[in-house]
Amino acid sequence: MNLQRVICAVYGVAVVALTTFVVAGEPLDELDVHQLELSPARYLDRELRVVGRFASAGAGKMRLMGSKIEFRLGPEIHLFANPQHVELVGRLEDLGGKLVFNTQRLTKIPSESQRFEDRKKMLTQVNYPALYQLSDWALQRAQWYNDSHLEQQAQDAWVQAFRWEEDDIARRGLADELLALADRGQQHEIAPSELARMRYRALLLKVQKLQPGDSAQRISLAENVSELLPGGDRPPRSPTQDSEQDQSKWWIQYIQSDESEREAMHRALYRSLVRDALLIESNRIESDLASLVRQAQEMVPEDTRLIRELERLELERRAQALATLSRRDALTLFSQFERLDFHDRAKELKSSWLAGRRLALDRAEIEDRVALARDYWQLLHEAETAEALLRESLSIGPSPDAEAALSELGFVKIGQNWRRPMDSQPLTPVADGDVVVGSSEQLVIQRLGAPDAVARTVGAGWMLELWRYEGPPQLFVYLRRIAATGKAAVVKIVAP
Amino acid sequence: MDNGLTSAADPADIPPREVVRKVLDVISGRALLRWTMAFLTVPRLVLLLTLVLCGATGWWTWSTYRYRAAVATLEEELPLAQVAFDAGEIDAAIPHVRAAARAGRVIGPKSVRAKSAVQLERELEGWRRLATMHIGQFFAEHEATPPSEFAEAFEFAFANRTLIVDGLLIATDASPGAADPHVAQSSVEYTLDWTWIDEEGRQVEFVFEQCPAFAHIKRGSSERVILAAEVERIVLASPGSSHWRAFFKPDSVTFLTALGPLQRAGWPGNTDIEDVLLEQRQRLGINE
Repeated sequence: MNLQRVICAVYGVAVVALTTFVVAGEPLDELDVHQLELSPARYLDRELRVVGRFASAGAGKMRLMGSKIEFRLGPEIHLFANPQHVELVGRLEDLGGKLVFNTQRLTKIPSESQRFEDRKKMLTQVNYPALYQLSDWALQRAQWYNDSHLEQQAQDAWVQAFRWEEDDIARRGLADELLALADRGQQHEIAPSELARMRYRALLLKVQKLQPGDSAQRISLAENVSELLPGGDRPPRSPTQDSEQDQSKWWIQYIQSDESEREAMHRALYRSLVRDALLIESNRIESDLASLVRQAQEMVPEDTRLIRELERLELERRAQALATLSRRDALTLFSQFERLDFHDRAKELKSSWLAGRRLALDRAEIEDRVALARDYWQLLHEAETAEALLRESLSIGPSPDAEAALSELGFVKIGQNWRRPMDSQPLTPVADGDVVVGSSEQLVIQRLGAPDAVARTVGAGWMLELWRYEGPPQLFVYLRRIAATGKAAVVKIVAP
Repeated sequence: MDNGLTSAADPADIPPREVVRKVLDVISGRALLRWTMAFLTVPRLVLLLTLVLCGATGWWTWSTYRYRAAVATLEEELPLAQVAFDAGEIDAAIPHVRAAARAGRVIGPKSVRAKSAVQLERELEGWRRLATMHIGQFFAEHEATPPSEFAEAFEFAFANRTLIVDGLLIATDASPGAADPHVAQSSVEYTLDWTWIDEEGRQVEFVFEQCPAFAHIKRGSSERVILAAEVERIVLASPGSSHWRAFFKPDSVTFLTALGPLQRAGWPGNTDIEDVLLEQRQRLGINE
């Protein structure tokens, strides 16, 4: 029973509401007076709701600011004191060429600024087109009334809509749209720094979408950076080492930076793209690494690390054919590695190159052995290997060159043996004067170093000392020490 | 004829059983005991004890006098001996060292100073009996000497002569294959790291064998020593080889403790020699 009553009540209310709507007709659109002035013929003989700024009133007539239309007020219309902003409902008629608006109702309304603010409050960030419209609405009225305050409000609203749109596009990852938006912003005289920020953001979006291994895409993007972002095409005055940083943090760091720092970041983005592109290219077997080095020097001269790395790769490629290189080319290659501070690698290659030459030595070859020994000493300072090669040479046959080389290495010929200098002593070329019978102990020490062990036997009026050098080769030097003077001289040298 | 005296029994008349008993008496000392008991009458015992007492008193008096005299001599002579030794004046040291050593032997080894005196005398003898020819000279002179005569010539030149040696003494096994650490230390021999090699490839090395003075140097280890020792003999390491081994007399080994004679002989002055001498003094127990 109750349910039937409720249904009937709802039905009744609906019928009443529908009837009211039909009877009242379609609600009237708000028409600003300047719109009416622009094309009055369009609105003739229609009931209108016109808003405008009050200018003057008297004798049942009223004028609105900027309008030539005569607004007639009936006796029943009550005119407010200082109405300022009004809404008039009535009908526009053309009376012999004169436009007359017969007002049926007059209402005082808030100002355009106030209405603008009220409408703006109702908008959310996603609804940036509505904010653009609101900005246009305010701008039209500001221009009609020459209202600078309202014009500023309109401009601010446009900028805000622009940013909302930027965020929306960025959120959707549409880099090209964002670039286009920046171009649009340029037409609206958005600050260049803001435009640069938007373009940087757009280009970062493009960086995120780069295909792995696509160097052309990176170079193209780098060119975009160079063209669009201030400072992107300007290398810093000093070499720069970019720290490894997560790309996702670039944007956060960017918006926290000042303008000069941002220019540096534009260049860093350019550098990063060029570096990646060139490194990708360098990994291709068919790539011309020398050309890539030149490209890097031209495009990112400040990135010395990249240039060095590309140079290293170029040298490494040449080093793959090390065994086939001429001596001159090999030495050039080593020196180039050293120039780049890759000393360990240079040493490794030298060692490998020399070892290869050693393996290829003919069993009876003397001159090549001597030459190789000299290279071992000059390139690697490997005295032991040089010594071994020179001794091999001498074991094959007499060789003045080998003897001269041993002498240059600081070895001393004692009898038929070449004596290795003490390890603690630098290998320096020696002067004339070998250790022979009669040499003083000072000369022995000077030439052979301190002995490894000393033993003495003493009799009546004599003392014999044995100075033992463990070598190789092992060497016994016997000295007789004179008690009266305390001096000792060599009496015998034996290489057991 | 009966002369009133009991005639001695003819041994032939003694029965065999009696003879056996007398022999057993002598063997068992019963006869001696009976004789002693018969001899030691009270007057004789008193006289004997008096003689023993007098003898002991005389010996003690003489010993005491001798000891005191030795102490006095040592006190007097040892400093003089040491001064002379420190100066390397061997000849000047002889009377003082010998007097001090004699006194030292009287006093006994419990006295460090007495031991020092005896040690000085041993060192003195070492320095006084040095070999006059050095190994190089000997090899040069016997370049053409056949091996069969070489040993004899060597012993003639060096036997009972002293060499002072300063070098590393290396303890090795006397016989190959005796590397077992449980093998007695007496099988260890000690080789000096001083060897002589001549132009003909002949080589001589110096060896100490079974030397108690080196008992502290364990097999496989080595120690630097400065000592005097007498050459005893030389033998070929193996038949037909040119490698000779000269052996020192084990009981002639005398560790040197005095720096003066070494300096006089021309030892280069450095502190490591003093360290070796100090260590040797400590080992001999004469480091005051």
